[in-house]
Amino acid sequence: MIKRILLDAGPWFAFLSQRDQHREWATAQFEQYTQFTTCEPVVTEVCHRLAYHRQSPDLALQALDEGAIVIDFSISRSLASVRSWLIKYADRGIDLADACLLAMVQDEPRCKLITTDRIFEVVRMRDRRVVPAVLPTRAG
Amino acid sequence: MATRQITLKLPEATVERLDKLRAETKTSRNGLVLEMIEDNLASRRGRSAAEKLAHLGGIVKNAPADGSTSNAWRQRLER
Repeated sequence: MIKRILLDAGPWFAFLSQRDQHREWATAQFEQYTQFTTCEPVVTEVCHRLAYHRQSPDLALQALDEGAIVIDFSISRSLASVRSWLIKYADRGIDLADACLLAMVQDEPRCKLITTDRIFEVVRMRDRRVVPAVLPTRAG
Repeated sequence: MATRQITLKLPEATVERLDKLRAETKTSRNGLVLEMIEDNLASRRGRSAAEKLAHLGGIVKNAPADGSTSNAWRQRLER
């Protein structure tokens, strides 16, 4: 049984963005689930992308306020895990949000990770499992 | 269950409707308010994320289709 649906910044922003190539797919994910779990670096990324397009970062926080997306991760509590992911996949350009999401998957294997980031297709968990990532199908 | 007493300020018409409901259901004001809150929370939990955020879907009109702001974000981190 799936316990948690983790959300990355890509699908979150795709849902918000009218012209995003993954908008339809992202909207389908938002229609399928009642609540997503994420981490603060993902929220920060969405806030930045909103600000980049002259939108209020508060639009991201509204999603938290509505209870559609909840933050349930502490870097300080999972510091060793986050650091290990950043070091292991440094050559793949892993960022802090990716590392936090991987630490969240490690903490709760019965999860799905909704993402548009293909790095999760190559990453392997500590027991060599693939990441339970749900990605849009490749175009073409 | 631990309880805490709070004071609610409701419009007169709402209080009248509450009392009418109280007479009909033989349930206390407290019980009715509690029931309504639980129903409301259950209903909110049951709604999809898309329904909860319907007012936000597609709100960003000017972002490129290819998600390249993600790269802009990474470039900013690299600076």
